[in-house]
Amino acid sequence: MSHDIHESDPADETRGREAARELSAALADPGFRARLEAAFASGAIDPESAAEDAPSRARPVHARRPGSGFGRRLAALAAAAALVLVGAGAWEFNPGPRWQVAEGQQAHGNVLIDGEPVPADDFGSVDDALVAGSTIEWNGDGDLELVSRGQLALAIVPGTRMLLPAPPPRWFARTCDGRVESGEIRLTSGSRFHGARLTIATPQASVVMTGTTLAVIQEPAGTCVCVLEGSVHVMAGTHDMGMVPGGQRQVVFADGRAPERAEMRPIERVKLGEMRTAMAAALEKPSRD
Amino acid sequence: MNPMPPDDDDSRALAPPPPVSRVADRARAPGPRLGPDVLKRVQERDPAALAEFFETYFDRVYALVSRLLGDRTQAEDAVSEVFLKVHRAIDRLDPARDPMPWLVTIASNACRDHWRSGAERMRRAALPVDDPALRESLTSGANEPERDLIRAEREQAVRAAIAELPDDLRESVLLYDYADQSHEEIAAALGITHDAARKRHSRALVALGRTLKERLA
Repeated sequence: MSHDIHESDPADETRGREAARELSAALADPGFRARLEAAFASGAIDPESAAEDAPSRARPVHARRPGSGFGRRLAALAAAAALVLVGAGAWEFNPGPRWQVAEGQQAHGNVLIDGEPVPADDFGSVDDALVAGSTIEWNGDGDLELVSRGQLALAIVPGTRMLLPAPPPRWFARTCDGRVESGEIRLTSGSRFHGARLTIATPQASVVMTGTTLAVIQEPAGTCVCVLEGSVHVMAGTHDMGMVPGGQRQVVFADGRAPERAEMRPIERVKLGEMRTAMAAALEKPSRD
Repeated sequence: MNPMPPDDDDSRALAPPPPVSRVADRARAPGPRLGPDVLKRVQERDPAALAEFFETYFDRVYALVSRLLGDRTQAEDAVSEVFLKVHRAIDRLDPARDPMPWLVTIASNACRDHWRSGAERMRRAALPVDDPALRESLTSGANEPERDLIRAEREQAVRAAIAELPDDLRESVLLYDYADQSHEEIAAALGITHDAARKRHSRALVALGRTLKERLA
């Protein structure tokens, strides 16, 4: 895109202005909006400030009623302490359990994390290198299995290149995004994923899961989303493919052919079933921290 | 999502900007705003007033940040930071003035922090999805799927072209044409001269118009 304005055409400026003003208003997720409003109005959004200023805030802002004394002061202090505890807890512990290698996984070889090779069987080193947004390239033996305790299990099939999503936060802004450039991943949600939303983008599609077991397969011909149970929302650019129910697969082709919805292949059904069973235990195991 | 304490870079934002003369760069319909009485209670951190403040300004702040960052998750993080910073600096709010330019300044700075962060590559890599406004627009027509499709494709093209603008140009065009800030308010928010704000906006529109001419021809 050129930004040389020496030969600018007034029509370009007009076109740009009209286009910018046509943009629709971006709307927030209602759940996020409600949570942030509650935190903002109550003061829980800022535990530091509540800790430092709560006693002084309780003093001059409102006129004191006659008869208020030790009880009111005690109540104010108790309220401030509760706010501090709730707020501090919310902010400190909101990030979800970090990604770790699943206990008992059998993968061998080097996994490239942001271009750095890390032995897949050196769980500690892999754990340390796994950061939200990392580029992961896996070409070793067996599936590389990762878990965010209680929330998500992720199996990365050899031949996959992807961006690792952040683990879903526990309470606020429970959304996260990842991307699959090539290859295949399988995902299954744990009990604590409830209420969260994970979006996996591919070159052709976006897949939104809110609790299910599915596979996202990215090949040169396009994206295939296989849903074992529950349902996932699939978008191809701005085209809404709707919800893909359990037992179905949605294919979005790279060459622009009409998308296909069909029964899931038996092989994927088996692989996803095995993954769900194997990961059920790993999801609930305590963290290595 | 980590709460980010205001740093030195934000001191400009946390002091409400000086009043602008409101020389009309163009006719604008003002959004809803709160009166001085409510803003005084906001300043005192009255929970009901804070909720009213949030209800009045959240949607405009979110819309701006969402379009500036082009990614829902990053927008939620940035908007959370904006309201955290607002809460921390709320006692410096001037009840006599419209707080919207102040909010825009804080929002712009929050977006710049995100542009500088490592999370930027996620935004560059991920497609914006699940835009409720776009989804609503697709179903608002009276069973005119062809028209809806054309409109959706055009909107997508405009959003993509805006997303491809350099950060400073994208900021300029969105602050003026989307967030309805005047050049004078933008100049105050970005710490540049009024003339620089006007020229930058003009460059942004030309760049955007050229891109759309190629794509929508």
